[in-house]
Amino acid sequence: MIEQAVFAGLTTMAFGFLYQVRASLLWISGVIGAVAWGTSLGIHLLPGAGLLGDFAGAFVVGGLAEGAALWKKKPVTIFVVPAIISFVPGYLVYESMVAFLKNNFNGGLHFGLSAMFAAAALGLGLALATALLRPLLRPHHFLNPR
Amino acid sequence: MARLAQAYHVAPVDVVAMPTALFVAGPEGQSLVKRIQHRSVNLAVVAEINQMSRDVAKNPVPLEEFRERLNAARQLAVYPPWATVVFAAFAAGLISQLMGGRLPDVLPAALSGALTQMTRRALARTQMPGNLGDMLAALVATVPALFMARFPGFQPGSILVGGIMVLTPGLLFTTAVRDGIAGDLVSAVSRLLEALLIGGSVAAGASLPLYIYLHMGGRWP
Repeated sequence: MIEQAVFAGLTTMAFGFLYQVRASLLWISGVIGAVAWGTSLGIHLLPGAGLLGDFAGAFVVGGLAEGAALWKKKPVTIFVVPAIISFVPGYLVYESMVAFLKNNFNGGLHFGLSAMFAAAALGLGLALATALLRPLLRPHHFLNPR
Repeated sequence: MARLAQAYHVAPVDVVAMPTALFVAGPEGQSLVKRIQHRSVNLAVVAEINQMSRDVAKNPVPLEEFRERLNAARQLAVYPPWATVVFAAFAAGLISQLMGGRLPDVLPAALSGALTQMTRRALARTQMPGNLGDMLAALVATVPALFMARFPGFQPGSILVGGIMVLTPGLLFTTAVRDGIAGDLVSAVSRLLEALLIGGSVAAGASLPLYIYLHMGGRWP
């Protein structure tokens, strides 16, 4: 599990480099990626966890990225985008693709729908982290009268 | 943009920013409509323009100086083009390990990632539509996986997924979610549609060689 989390952290940093994020900020993205992947793996160990691991991983990414953005005074996307890549259900999409190519339509639909739901869980995790934590971390943005 | 307008005492200003166009309405009926035809992922530009707007809010510099900084930021690249190929290779090799791959899959996946990034960069310089470019880049990404599939001990699926993950529209997906939460619904839906189109192009590009390979009786564990 620790090995996987380290790989996730390094993957996050590699994608950060690819998206032109400065090295001085990348270690933060790396830590976010590793912690989120570790959390997700931990939740996957629970019986019947399903997509809860993806949701929790995305929530951790979103929450820690909001904190990091506030700390470093940088846009949140710099921390979220590299860290969320590891959670993208690329393998499920691939399995769906291969199943369709092998004329296994049931399998293709199963994996395709699983990938869609996994993406929805990621979206929900990120959205909730933003919606819940942003007002707490930046109350002046929300309390000013229009 | 609202922060910038406030710094330069231009009011009232209303801005609608979408992935395909930018609309700005200024005082006295002045307006600006800018169509956006080329989009790419460069978080260095995002960070720099964010920093500029923060700096200008505190200390508004002359407009000419601001324009020069803006032009410099537009071309900003923290790392040289060849380095992005190396980073893509690292990213693909590492992510293959999170996608069910084993250690021997790292090198072919890294090669796949490097090929994908090289193809994408080469095609970005042409007039080819972005989605077609992604499709061709995904097609090239399958080559190392198809080659290694004949050898036992490799996971061609993980190699292939590692390579095509370089094309993942992560920024679009993230900003679509954030725009949706912020209430910018048109922007959110259009970003989500673009992410889906890129995903579809990548799947189509990777499917074609795999389809031919499978129908020629190739081994695919």
